[in-house]
Amino acid sequence: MKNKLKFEEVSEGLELPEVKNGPIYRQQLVDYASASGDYNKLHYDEGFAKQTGISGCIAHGMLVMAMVGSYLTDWAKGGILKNFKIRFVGMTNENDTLSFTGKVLKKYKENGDNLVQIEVISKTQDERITTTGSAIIAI
Amino acid sequence: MKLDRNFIGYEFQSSEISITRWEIAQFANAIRDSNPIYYNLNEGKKQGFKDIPCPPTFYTKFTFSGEKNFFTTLGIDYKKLLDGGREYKYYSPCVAGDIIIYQTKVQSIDEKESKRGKMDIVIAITTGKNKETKEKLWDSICTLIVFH
Repeated sequence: MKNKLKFEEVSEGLELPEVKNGPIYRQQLVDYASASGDYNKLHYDEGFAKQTGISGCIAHGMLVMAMVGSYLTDWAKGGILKNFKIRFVGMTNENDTLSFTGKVLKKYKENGDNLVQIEVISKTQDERITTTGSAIIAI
Repeated sequence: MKLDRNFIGYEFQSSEISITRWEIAQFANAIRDSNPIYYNLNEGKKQGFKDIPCPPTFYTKFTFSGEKNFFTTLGIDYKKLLDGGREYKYYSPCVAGDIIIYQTKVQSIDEKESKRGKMDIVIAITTGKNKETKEKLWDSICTLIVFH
């Protein structure tokens, strides 16, 4: 089992190590459609996607948010998310590989919880930002 | 097409569902998260959970409650729809075996102007509770962009 992250190890301004995840293949988009119940054909039917005016299948926004969530919980080893917010700013296309980066904005105590506030960004291999977000994690 | 403003404040019927270990593992696999707490009961327990915990965005499955489809009820065309963003507020953890009740409410519908023309910004809030303990588990705040 991984060691838990300690509150003392975290400081304001600390940058989380970059992690890459992908490529996101069609199989994963189908798996996610089934696991999440979001069967919008935009994500796995290229013909349908093209009718909507985009060049091909795109990843579910919520799949990208889930991958950001894994990035945060892997980093915070044993930490519990209290708040998690994502804004979708660009499309993640099929076969894209995402890289995640984050930074500790604030470290504080509230109602007996040791909390850290983190900002997080996901980018594609060609440096396009697809999501920006923030989270509050109890450590 | 502009959405009907009568839906502001509209509450969908609540839904009840039992969380299963299998669904959590299926979801964790789909997001390619190999953390053993989502697959192995002992690992979950070692982390202090009474069963296998839900990944942070597992509640995506429960974004909209009720038997009526959210999108068709509001008259939203999938081809004009974009996901604007999501916020989750977590109050208490949820684990396999829990029975939850969740309910969706249309919080607001506002018109905005964009490069692609006029659009409606829909904010829907879904709250999840533990059926047995009545404890509030999470709020999901969903922002949808619907082009006219």
